[in-house]
Amino acid sequence: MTIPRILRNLAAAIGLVLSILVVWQLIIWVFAPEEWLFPSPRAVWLRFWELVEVDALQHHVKVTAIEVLAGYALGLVLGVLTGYPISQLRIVEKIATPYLVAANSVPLVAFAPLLLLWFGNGIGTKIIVAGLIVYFPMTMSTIAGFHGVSPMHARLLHSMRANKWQRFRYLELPSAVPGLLAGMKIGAPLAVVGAVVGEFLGTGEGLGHLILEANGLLDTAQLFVAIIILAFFGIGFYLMTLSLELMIIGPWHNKRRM
Amino acid sequence: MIKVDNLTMTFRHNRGMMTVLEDLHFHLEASEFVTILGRSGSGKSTLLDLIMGLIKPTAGTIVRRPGLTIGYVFQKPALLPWRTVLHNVSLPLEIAGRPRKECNERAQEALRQVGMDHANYGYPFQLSGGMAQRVAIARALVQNPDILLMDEPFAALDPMLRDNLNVNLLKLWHRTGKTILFVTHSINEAVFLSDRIVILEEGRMITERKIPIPRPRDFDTFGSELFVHTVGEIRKVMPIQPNLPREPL
Repeated sequence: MTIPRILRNLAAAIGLVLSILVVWQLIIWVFAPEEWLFPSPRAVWLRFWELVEVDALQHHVKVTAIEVLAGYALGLVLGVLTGYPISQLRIVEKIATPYLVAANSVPLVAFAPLLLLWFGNGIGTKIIVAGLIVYFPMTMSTIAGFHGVSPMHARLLHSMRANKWQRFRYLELPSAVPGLLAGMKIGAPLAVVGAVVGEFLGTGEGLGHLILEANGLLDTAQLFVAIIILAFFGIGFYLMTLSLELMIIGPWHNKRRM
Repeated sequence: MIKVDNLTMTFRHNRGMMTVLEDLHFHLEASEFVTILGRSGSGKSTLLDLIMGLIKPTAGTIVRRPGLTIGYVFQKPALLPWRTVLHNVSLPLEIAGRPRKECNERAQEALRQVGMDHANYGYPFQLSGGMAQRVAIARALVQNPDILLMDEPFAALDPMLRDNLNVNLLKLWHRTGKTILFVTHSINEAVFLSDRIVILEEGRMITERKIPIPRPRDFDTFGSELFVHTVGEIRKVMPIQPNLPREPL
């Protein structure tokens, strides 16, 4: 009997979660750690419901979600807008690349206080931090994507007397799509990182704030709640980009090439 | 249909100039099958690019009959991997701005002509090399061009398949009455296909030969005495590569 692949994958995912829970509970039973050091699954579960009941969690999740999505969108748009011209003009590429690399090698956390100073304490700063962290890989992927145009195909379009716009539409853009999607896939979990880093700068909202607060109060169960939700954020977001990829280039990409 | 006179093509090179074609004279009549025979680097592909109008000659003239349309088949199929077979074939029409319905109908018709209409909705990665090149031929045919330029279209395929595709190419040629200008470095292929062979060596036209083998030609032609004899005759006039020894190593 064959089980559909999607069901098998789902079963494997659920099985993994269950086994992590079992190991976690075993550690609690065997070592009986202090709750502030290592809370039991049950304690984390209870803390989760407490947070939901005071309506705090929904709010924090919503704030972080907005920051992540807005930052992600910002990073993607800026990345494509700078990556495309860089990929088209050699001279721009030569001038810009060292600066991009230099800017990218400074940890974002180093920029964060500066951004706080300039853009204030609001949600906007978090969106900018998330946007920046997505921006660099997106720019690089855009450049790589548009450089992926095969000279053979360029010659083909030339022989068909395609104009500049048709070259873009029929050749350059579709050639770049796998690269663009790769950048989007890398950027998705990074946007979550960026938003939390932004929240660490302090505002009183979001999952990052929940982590800071829990840390201050030694409320380790709350820490676990926030971390687990963030992990789900990352996974969900990544899966979204993955299904986008399957939808757009699934029928032909990564198959035997002509 | 096409008349080429005093054609010279020079490219700027790292150090100085490189002459790829020199003082070429050449003409192509309607419904003819002409092959340009020469080894790699003899300027064959450059000549096709010039005739196609993709590049401008350094000197000389290329006169095309007014309103002449040309289809081009490259060495590699060069199919776009993200388009289905049908939409690869309809691409030239889309770029020419034809309505979608017409694009699809004519692409289907072109695929039927090369016997690939069963693969309409497949993607290029699903095709073998020979199938892909047939689709590429359909793409060149889709605009119903007067002339088909073919730049070593079957060079990358195994010899058996190559003979097979050449037999089918001749059938297509008889059926459609197109003018074909074919480029190859295979003497056998040139003799089998052509009415006339133009031999090119280092950018210069060495000679031009008519092929006396009667038509229609098919698989049996390869074994005929006349075919073997003609191949031998052509081989005699093909220049020896200057830096290769005459005697076996």
